[in-house]
Amino acid sequence: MNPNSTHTELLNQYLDRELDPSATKDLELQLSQDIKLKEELDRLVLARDGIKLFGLREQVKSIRKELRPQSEIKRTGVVRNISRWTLRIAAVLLLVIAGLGIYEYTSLSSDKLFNQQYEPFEIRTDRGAEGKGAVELEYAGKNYSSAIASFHSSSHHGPADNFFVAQAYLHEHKSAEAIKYFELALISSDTTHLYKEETEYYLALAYLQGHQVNKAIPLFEKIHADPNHPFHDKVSDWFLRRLSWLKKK
Amino acid sequence: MEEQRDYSDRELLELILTPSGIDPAVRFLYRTHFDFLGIYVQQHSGTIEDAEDIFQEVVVAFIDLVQKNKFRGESTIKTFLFALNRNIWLNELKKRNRSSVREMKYETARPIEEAGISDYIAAREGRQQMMKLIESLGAVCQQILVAFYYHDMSIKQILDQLSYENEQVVRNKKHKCMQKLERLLSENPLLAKTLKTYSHYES
Repeated sequence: MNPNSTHTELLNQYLDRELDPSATKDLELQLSQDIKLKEELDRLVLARDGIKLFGLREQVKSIRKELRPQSEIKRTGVVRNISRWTLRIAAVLLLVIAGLGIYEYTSLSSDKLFNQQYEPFEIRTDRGAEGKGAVELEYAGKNYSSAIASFHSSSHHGPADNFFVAQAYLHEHKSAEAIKYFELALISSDTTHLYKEETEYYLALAYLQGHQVNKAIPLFEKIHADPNHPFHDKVSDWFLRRLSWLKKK
Repeated sequence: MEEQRDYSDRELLELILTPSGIDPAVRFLYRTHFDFLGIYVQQHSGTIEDAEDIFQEVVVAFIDLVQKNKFRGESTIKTFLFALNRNIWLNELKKRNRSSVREMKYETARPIEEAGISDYIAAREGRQQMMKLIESLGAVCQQILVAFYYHDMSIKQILDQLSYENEQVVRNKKHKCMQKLERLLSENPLLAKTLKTYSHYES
């Protein structure tokens, strides 16, 4: 626009249809001959159309603001949808966990628990052969049947023989014999204090192998309750829970 | 509580063309289409705020196109709004330089169906610049110009609403505001050219 234009007001009036027919005719003649004037009118038309659009936008915006509380509710709805999805995922996870739990429960057995828990007793290597009985030596050499044979070939038994022959029987899956000799070892350990804690743990395992869960549980619970027990870490809450499930089966 | 009326496509188009019809038409559009269109934006990298902003623009564009007789009715209003919403949002993503490869592929795979929409998208940036120019005029100019050109109020009606001494003062003020806006456009010839290309105005 020419800032000094004397036509601007006239153009505005023309745009607003405020000019009389004679003035309109005169201006339209000028517009057909004056490109700059026509361009100025074009810009005024664009300005007017822009304002109309701006007005519409403001009206829609104001209705939108008014409707916002409903929009917030919708947003809450979205949050609810998210929550719904979270719940769905949680439900699926719950089903998976429940499924695993059911599988765990139905597949639970003494043998399974025993196999997961059992590790053959390891004789400390810092002890030499001196002072070791024949049974212990055979056991140390992993000759389990020889250890059993050696035990039964002699009528005189050293203080640790019951313990090692029981270990050999346990390894050979002869739980009745293992229990018998571990029980004897446990009684003698009251006086000898030899392998007392080890006997408790492996006797419990022997009970488990022999499907005597009711007898195994008190021993495992005792070990679990004693943080100073050398086998304390081997008896977890989860293991005890599975034992209790096994008891109920 | 205000009665919530439902309108057929034909009734809605007629409503938009009546001076008092914009308000109920906008409310109807929000009530019936926002959820549907908002989900599209949110499923394509947008937030709920983006969805609200885009829907506002969709409503404005739709009413503007109907009022300018550029909605041909080749599709239902719902389909048209969906196309408008999708194209505006993809254009916005492009502008933000955030559109993913997938979204851009989608855009090229789905051509703009309606000529009215393609014109709107082509001039979108220009319209946004124009809105900023009007905002820069200040509240008084906006009030007077919107009252006069959008609400079609007379100078006397504007005088009744605003505290000016007499009609001539309002008239002068309106004139100065228009002059200022015209000057801003003359300083931005590219913008004026873009707007003119897509305006098809009737003076």
